[in-house]
Amino acid sequence: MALARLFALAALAFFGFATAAATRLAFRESKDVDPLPGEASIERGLAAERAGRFEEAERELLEGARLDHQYLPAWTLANYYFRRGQSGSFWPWAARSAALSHGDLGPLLKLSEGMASDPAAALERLQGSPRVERAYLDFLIGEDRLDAAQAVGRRMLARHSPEETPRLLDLVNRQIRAGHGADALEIWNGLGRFPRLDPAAGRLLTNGDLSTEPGGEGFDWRLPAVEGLTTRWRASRIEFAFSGSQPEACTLLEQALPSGRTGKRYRLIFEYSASGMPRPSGVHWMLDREEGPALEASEGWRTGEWIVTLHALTHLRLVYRREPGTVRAEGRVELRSLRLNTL
Amino acid sequence: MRQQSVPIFIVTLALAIGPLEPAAPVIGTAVAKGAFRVDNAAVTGNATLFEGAVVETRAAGSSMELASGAKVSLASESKGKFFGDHMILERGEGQLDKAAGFRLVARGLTIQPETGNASARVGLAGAARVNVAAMTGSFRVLNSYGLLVANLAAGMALAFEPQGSSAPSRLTGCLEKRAGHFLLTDETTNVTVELGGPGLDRETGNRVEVSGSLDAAATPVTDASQFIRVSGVKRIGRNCVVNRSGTAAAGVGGKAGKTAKAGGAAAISTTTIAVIGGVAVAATVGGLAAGGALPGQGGGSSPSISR
Repeated sequence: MALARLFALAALAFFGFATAAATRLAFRESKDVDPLPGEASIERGLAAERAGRFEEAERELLEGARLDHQYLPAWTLANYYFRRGQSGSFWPWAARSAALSHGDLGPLLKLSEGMASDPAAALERLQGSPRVERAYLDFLIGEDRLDAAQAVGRRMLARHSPEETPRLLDLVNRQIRAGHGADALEIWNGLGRFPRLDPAAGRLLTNGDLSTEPGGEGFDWRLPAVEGLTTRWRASRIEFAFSGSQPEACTLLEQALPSGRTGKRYRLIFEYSASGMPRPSGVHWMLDREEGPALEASEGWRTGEWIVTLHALTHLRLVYRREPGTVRAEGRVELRSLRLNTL
Repeated sequence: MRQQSVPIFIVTLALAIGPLEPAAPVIGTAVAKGAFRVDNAAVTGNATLFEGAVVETRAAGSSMELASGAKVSLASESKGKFFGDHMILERGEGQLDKAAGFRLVARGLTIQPETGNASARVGLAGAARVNVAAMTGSFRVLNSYGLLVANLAAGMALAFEPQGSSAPSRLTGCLEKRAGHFLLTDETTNVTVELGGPGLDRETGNRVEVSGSLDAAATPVTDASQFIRVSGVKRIGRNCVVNRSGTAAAGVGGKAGKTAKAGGAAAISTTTIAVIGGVAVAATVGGLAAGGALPGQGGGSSPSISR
């Protein structure tokens, strides 16, 4: 319709029947049949901005957005208002860009951060959809900004969508690696995969009864892959089979423990069997660098315990180290019923 | 077949940038018809650039538009890191336009305009080479220590390969003596050096090839950028004349433009005729024409980044 009208008006103008106003209308409407509507306006707007003609720049860019309701004009306007430092005008176009974008949101989020006081505020102003939140979390993690990522993770946690779980577990892992026990614990507990950990109440161990296969994420048990060592989980127990070709030192099992009450003592209780293992077995507990009791060779189930003092985020490990004067162990160690009780 | 270029313009917005001061300062905008990447994020159309932004172009083709102000263009499949006053070319080709106060860094070499309205094209080739073609205005090329290694006038094209700071210098030109100082302006690099050492007096007024080493402790006379302690002098022609730009015209028995192979710098090409400041420098045969179609000409339009 617009094209037909354009031709009609142009014809009228050609025959001299059209007024100057009609001719102007024809040109204005010609923009509506531009195969790339708004593009020319954007180009003119950016050129005007470079030349310092800001009123003209804004007018052209807004015209581009009027003609083209897709992503590019909105993105361009968001950038323009960012560069002009016009926060009030920036956010509607930033939100529109976020809503229309099918690509990488990183650049938009970087602009948004420059305009907002914190990530949560930025998400609020962007009217962030779950997709925007996920992109924001990825963006912040990519920049290794875990404090900011925590705020976004908290917001995502509130929605409690299973779709977010892998990302949030990744955040927990990163917080643990960074030594941010409290932040890691907040997200971990929020995910609700295991009974809530509560250092104040002495609940520090996850999946101690081994009723769930160790997932290797967050505060759950991690079973590192070790050549020459076969690890098998069965409900409520884990078996480690030593072939004799395993490394002279390796970690069999590992779990991060959230920060306990400073200087508080705990008793680690565990049941094990170590059939066919040499004496000494070389298998023992470690808490960070502190060495714990060995699991001595035994045919039946035995109960062991270790009194530990916890301070900050620590890593509990079951390790193997070949004892001097012995060959690498062959045999089998099983573990079950782990508990960490407050003394 | 040449790849089609992707136009990206990065334009300085000294006037356009508002009061906002994010953690990294805004240095301009990037504009392209098509997709490109900024700091590893895919961007379409245009983007705000922050200090230190890394811009990468892909193969998408589009027409080029130039904006006012200093500009740097990136060709397709190119990569550069941008700062307010310089760009580090990490891959491909770049072009400086109206680049007053802006410089381009490539493989440790700094290419900077001497005049405001200068434009040059800079490309990386192979593992070590940097090709520079001055299109308008003149440019200076400095090595990684800031030592002048070439003066490019408009229309000149040179290829550079850093050789290591200990590489002996090798220069060719008309040896002249001014106020008791021996001066030579290298024919390839158009750099004037002061020479010191035995055997120079008898070669004054001749076209010679000299080899030697940079004496960083010596202060050269005003017209020279560095002092070369000469270890060898080879006469190429007699009775040369120093033209206005300082380069030698052929004299008796000489051949202007005759090439000599530079020891230790043979990798650059068989036309290597100068080693200066640890950088081998060769004239690009055919000058600008050897660089292929210039941005805005021929098959592809070059992406442009301007500040």
